[in-house]
Amino acid sequence: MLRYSVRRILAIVPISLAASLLIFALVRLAPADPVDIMFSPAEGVSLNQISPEAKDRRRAELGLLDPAPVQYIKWLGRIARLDLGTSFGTRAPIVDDMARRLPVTASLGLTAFGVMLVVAVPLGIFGAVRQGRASDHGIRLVLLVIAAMPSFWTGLLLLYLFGVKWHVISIAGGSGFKQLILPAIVLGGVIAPTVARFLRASMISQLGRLYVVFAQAQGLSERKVLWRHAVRVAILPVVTLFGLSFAGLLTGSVIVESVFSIPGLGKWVVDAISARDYPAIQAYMLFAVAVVVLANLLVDLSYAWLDPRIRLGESPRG
Amino acid sequence: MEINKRSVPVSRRRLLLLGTGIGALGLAAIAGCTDDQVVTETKIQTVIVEKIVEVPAASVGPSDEELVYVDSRVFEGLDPVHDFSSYFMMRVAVAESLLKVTPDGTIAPWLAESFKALDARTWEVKLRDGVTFWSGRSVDAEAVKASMERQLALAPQAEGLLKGITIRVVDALTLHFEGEGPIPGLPFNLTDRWLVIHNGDSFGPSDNSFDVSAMDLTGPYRVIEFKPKESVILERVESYWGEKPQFERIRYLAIVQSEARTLMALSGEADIVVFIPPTAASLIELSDKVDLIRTQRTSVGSIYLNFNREPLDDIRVRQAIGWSINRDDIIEFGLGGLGRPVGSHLAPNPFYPEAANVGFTKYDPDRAAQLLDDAGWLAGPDGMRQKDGVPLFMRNLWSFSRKAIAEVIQENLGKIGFKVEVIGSEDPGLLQQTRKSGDWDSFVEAWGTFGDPFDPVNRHFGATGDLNYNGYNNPEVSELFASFADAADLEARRQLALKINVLVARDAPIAALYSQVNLVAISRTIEGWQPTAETGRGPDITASVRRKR
Repeated sequence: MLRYSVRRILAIVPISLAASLLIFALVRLAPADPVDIMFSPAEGVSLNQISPEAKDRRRAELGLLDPAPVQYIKWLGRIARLDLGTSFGTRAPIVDDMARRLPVTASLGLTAFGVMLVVAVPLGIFGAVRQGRASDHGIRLVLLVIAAMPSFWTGLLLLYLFGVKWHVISIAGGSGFKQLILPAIVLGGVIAPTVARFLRASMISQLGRLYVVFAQAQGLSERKVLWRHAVRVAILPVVTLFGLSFAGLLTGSVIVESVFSIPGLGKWVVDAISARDYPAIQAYMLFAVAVVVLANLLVDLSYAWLDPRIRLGESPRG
Repeated sequence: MEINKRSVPVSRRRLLLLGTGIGALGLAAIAGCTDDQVVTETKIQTVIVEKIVEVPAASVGPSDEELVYVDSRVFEGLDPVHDFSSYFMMRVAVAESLLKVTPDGTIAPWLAESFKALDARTWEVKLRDGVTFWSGRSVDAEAVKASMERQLALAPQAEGLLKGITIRVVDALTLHFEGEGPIPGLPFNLTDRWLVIHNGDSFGPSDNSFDVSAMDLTGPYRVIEFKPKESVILERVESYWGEKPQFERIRYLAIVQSEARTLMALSGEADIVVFIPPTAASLIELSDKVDLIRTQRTSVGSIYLNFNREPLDDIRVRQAIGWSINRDDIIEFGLGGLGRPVGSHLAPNPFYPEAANVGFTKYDPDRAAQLLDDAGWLAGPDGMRQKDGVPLFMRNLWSFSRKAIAEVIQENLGKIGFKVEVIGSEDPGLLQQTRKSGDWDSFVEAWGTFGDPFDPVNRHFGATGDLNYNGYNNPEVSELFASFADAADLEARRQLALKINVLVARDAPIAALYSQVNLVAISRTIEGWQPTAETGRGPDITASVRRKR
């Protein structure tokens, strides 16, 4: 287990380096110059004529006049010192900005993960048990409708109902638990249908197997067959999806945070993208890569822990 | 045994542990995001803002003591030299300048007591006696000079405002602004948000955006809590030099999503919500909680035509575009009925009433068709025009929320056989990049026309204009620009700008289309609010804004 874990952890280094290069290049491929955007940031904001010299001075201050490879090496050097740089917009250290927003996004992601579990697991199992019946079709239809609703639209609808009509929450946003429930429902709802359908398919594939038939032939109750045998096996492939889903929740809250005015990382990076705030975008993307890599690592390790044949190099399918 | 090899069940203990782990994480999340979070965030803010005052968490709905003001952004730094900070600071009554634009559009003294021209090159500004910064330091002539010099040195947006002008302290309360040439338009510049008066000694020699103890300005509200890009809490300054506003506190919030801003107004949580999208106007009008205020601005939305490329290098084609666009369609379908049609660049500005009768004053597709016929672009059997086998075509770029406007233009030009492709993005980056590359035919953009008469025409049509994207250069126009150097009074400059406006309408490097209305939602519990004539050249919140009893 230790050797397997070390091997998986070491694999993070080349992945992170490749990702950093890709991030650096992709950010600079976005159209428009950060300084041009900085001086004409939004519709409705008037501005005066800015001289080209003033713009060049600002570019020099931000290090944008250096050749791209130099900028990249400087950035890597800063990362090695755990310095993510300074925001082009606020001129504040990005580490501070992210540290302030990460707990909010993490709270939202975990709450959404809880919502997803509460919705997806029972519906997935129930749908498999009732396969082909009206209730199964009903569940699949409901999941399809949830999956088809864009989170932007669902978010605004919930804001209207709970904020304008019933005054239960504040539209101004915030990070209190009450304020996180609705966005968590929206965010959890984005991935719950996928997980539920995956679990349903996994369960159906197990329910037809000989060991289930054997257990039934032994006279075990339906409940025992389901929970002691089928669910324990069917859950294994879903663990992978849980890990990736959680990473997706942490890094995919961009739209939901913007709609609900939640001061998390998602809203922060939307502002950064609009402003072409390179250091902030790069830091966020690096964070996203780290989350996905770590989530995968945890999934791999938990998989190996749950199924010892994996660390021995065997296929779980035998 | 075959069965066990193919599908090994997860041990119950391990599954239980995994479940417990996930549950613990969930509980930690819930524990971590209770309402205590607000306090935690406030504590974190103390790192950024030193003298922070703990403000009660927002309850749903404003109170008698507090005004809730919602914008698309808040200031990003506490120093007025920081990017757009002074623009936002002026609006929420934190910063003030020497002069301001009143709601009826005239220029009036603010921190100044009076201003007058001594001659064509010199303005005298007398300061109010007894005005102090928040720190108690007197706002005297030396402090004003130091403030302006700091702004000119550190804020790129300010550097053009006093170019070629020397500031001279005459006595404790008198300043002279002396130009190298005539400066009749100086008062326009002294209303500018990038010339707000601040205590330069307190802020220091460089951008000092995260030290609230260094903040020393003159407005009736000062910052007590600052979350960059999120919110600012302002507290009334009891020692304010002018009439004190009613509200003890302003909660100033940034809500980027225009739909969420609209919901904020409808919910009654906010008192003033600015930048309401036109699409939400009808929804707000149905509400019994808020009023919708329409403010006509002096900005002009135009289609910019690249005359360095075919077919737009032909003046007749550009003129045909100007005549063939139905501006009423743009107002109705592109702006939700919230705007007015204009035919020339200066037409939206009441300072130039003559401009209303200049340029493309009506929708005239027949004239447009005739111009295209004259230019050799003839209609084929399908109605689409071509010349020597080349179809009449251009690509029109849009950005921000102007897609509908671009589509109206596409439809209008299609009627006279002019094929238009519409491409764009809400993000301005695509337009900026394409424009920089020179690989563009046309786009729609809106700009203000307020200021000294030289500025709104020079920026678009002058040799040094930053918005003269394709190098418009007409010798007749250049001569008129040269005459500004000797135009000693405002009327002479106004006449020059009007003449340029006529020539530009004829040459059609742009075709003016519309002037948009700004929408502000005001809670019905609020009275006394008046829109500023020019955003960011006067306060949005004044002493007359009150909660109804």
